[in-house]
Amino acid sequence: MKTLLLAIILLTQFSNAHSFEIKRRAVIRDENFKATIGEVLLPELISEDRYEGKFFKIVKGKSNEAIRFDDSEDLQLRAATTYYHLNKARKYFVEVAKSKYVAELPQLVIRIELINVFNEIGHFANDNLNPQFNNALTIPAGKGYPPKNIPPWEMEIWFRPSKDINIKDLQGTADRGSVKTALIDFRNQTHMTNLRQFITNLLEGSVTGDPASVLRLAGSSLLMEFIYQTSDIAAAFFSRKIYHLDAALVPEIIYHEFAHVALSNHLELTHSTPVNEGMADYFAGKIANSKKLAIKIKDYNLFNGKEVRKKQQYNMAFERGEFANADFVFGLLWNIGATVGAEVEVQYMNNLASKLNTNATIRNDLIEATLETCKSYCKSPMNDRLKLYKFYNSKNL
Amino acid sequence: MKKIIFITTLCLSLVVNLSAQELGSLNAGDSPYKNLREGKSHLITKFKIDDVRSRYKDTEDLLILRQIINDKNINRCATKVVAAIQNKLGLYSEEEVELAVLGLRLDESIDDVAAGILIKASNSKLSNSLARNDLTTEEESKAMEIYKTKVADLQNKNLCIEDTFREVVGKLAVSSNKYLKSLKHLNKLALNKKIIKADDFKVIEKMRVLKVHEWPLTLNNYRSNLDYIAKAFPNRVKESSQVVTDAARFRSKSSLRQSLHEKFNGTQIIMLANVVKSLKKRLDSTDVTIHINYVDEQSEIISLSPMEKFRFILKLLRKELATLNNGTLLNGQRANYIDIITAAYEVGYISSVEIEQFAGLEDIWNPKKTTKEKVMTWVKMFGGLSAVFLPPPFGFLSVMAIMLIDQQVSEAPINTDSDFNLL
Repeated sequence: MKTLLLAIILLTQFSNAHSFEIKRRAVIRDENFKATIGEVLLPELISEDRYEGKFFKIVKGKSNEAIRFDDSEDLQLRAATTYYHLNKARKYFVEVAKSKYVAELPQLVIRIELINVFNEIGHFANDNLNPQFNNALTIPAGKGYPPKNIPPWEMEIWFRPSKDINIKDLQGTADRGSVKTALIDFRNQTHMTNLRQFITNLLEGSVTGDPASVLRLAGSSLLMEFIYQTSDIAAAFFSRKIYHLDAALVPEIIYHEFAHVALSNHLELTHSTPVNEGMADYFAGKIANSKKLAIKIKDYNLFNGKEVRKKQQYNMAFERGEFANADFVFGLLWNIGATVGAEVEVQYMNNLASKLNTNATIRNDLIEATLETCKSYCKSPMNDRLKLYKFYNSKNL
Repeated sequence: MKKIIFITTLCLSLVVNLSAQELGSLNAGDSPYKNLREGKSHLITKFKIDDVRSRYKDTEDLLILRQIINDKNINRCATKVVAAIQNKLGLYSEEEVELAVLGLRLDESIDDVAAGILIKASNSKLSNSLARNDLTTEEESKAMEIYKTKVADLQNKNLCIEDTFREVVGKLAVSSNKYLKSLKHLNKLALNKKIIKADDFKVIEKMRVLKVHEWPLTLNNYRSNLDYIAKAFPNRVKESSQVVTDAARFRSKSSLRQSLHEKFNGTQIIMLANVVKSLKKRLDSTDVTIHINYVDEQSEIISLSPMEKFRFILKLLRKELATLNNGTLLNGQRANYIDIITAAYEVGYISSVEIEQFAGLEDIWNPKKTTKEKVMTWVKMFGGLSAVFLPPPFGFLSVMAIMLIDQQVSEAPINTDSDFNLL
């Protein structure tokens, strides 16, 4: 018994000795949802000189070594921001959503400033192949390729470096004053235009190679619009003339990518679909836990936003992967959350995710899963299910 | 002598104690008319509440009232209950009796439906109208024959006079509508021809003045409904729903619940509620498939999407209500959408949480609006026919209102603009 007690005390001391209370500058949100740089405590660190914690290791590019606390300020700002917000997102899934899967996840490697395209066999595509900017990506684990000395890898989140793009060179966008205005225009004008296609068109002419490969949009049009509306650090150099997105400095993009990881036990990371992107957006919005963001989502989501004149009706085309970033599913899920009520919302959504798979359709699988989940998790199952039926009926589902 | 006095005192105190114990042991929940489905009374207005409280809340008189309403010899007959209240509490004015009835309602020993019947029975205003007679001698003779068949019942004190009188009037009405306008004359004629005695004449005249024959519901009818439903649904818990009680809300004389009991008997109420039970059961089904069976080919099975299933279930609901209305089971009464909801609440298939949602839809029952305006309001409020969004919480109504709209605008199918929805 004494030995056991001693072992526990020693273990506690050991673990204390290996968690470091280090503060660093990171991008955080203020009460008004504005991005500012502030000093934050980096939780769960296991290294005293690097961005390596129990759950996340932040590395630069293809390196496997964690970024050091004496690296450049710019690099550290990105490393600290991603590290801090990833821990926040993980804490949400473990403590609020009670996700066992996330609690048991091994340490994740987070790559910032990585321009390589993902390759399912080789991990990183050749450096010369379509360098990537202004986006973020969560990749599935891979088995590696021993003949080429490529070791296996676990799930990773990649943040691309930002790159200024001069909007005046853009084709067909002369009447649009800025990306921010263009995004709002996009949302107001046409609901069936895919955001990725839209941004690609916006940037066409100013980017060499395939414009579509330059951007993988980390969020729906709604989330992207808010990011630009709040004059982010990500868009610190953003003006009416420049498009610029530093994904590693945007908390909601970080949450969105981690949500993909957290939901990956059911929603695999192989490809983007309206349902898995919508779910990731939903959790990003919830982790952000900002009243202002919540109000904006409520007011401006095309599903039933108060300020939106032309509300979005379901269309079969939304089922296609190319519309993964349209905000129909995001708006739908946000309203489902409000319908089932704050008391059960998180557990409801977490359970909902377990009933879905990557290829889930909106009209059949998602709707069925929301109704089935309600049977077990809604406060008033029949009543709330009828409310959901009402929602869906009004949206032509 | 002292012994006799002592024994007499002892016996008296024993009797008093026993009766006091009997009085004290009765609770509101023992009453056959106990308030199980209604919320606050719409009969106890803010002008009356203080009087009712001061007279009857936790008083000896309340215990007497409880005893009266629990007396199975009289509690199926409103006029007998009112007479007992008058006698035991020494009340004679109509206002005082009404206050006593409201005392029972405040105590929840009775609900508003029972209270309403008792208040009607306490009406003491006498009509001085002339005895109208436009009957022929032959018609008078025919009517007197009907009176004769009920003489024994009129004199049987175990029967409820309201029921007997309604039977007499019912028989007369079946024979000729002219009789209803000449009831006073016929009563007097029966007395003059010595078919009925003077005492019976007074009683049936009182029934005529009270217009008992026009009551949509007697205490006996209501009790039968309550007993039938209670037997079929013994596990109902007490719930409060202001919506089903509040008559003023719908600018109607009757509350939704009162109206339900007036229109339908216990069996019919359960039948109506079963429409909603089927709806709930179907909504819990795992899936709905349509089979198309070919002559020489393999059958085709079409699985409906969750929302197609929902709309299919709505159509079934509408069909079932129409079938009920077209059949003979409702005795010619026409059940509407609100009836089936109220019935489902009455038997406990719908909780008060669900039925309360109706409160926000007052416009539906707003008589100031034309039917067309009402329909347009519903169309705007519910998405079945339009894309206009209605925020929560209008859960249960979604099903019903869409059905109702469909009922009203029968040509308009749900989701006309959809080319990929089967239903």
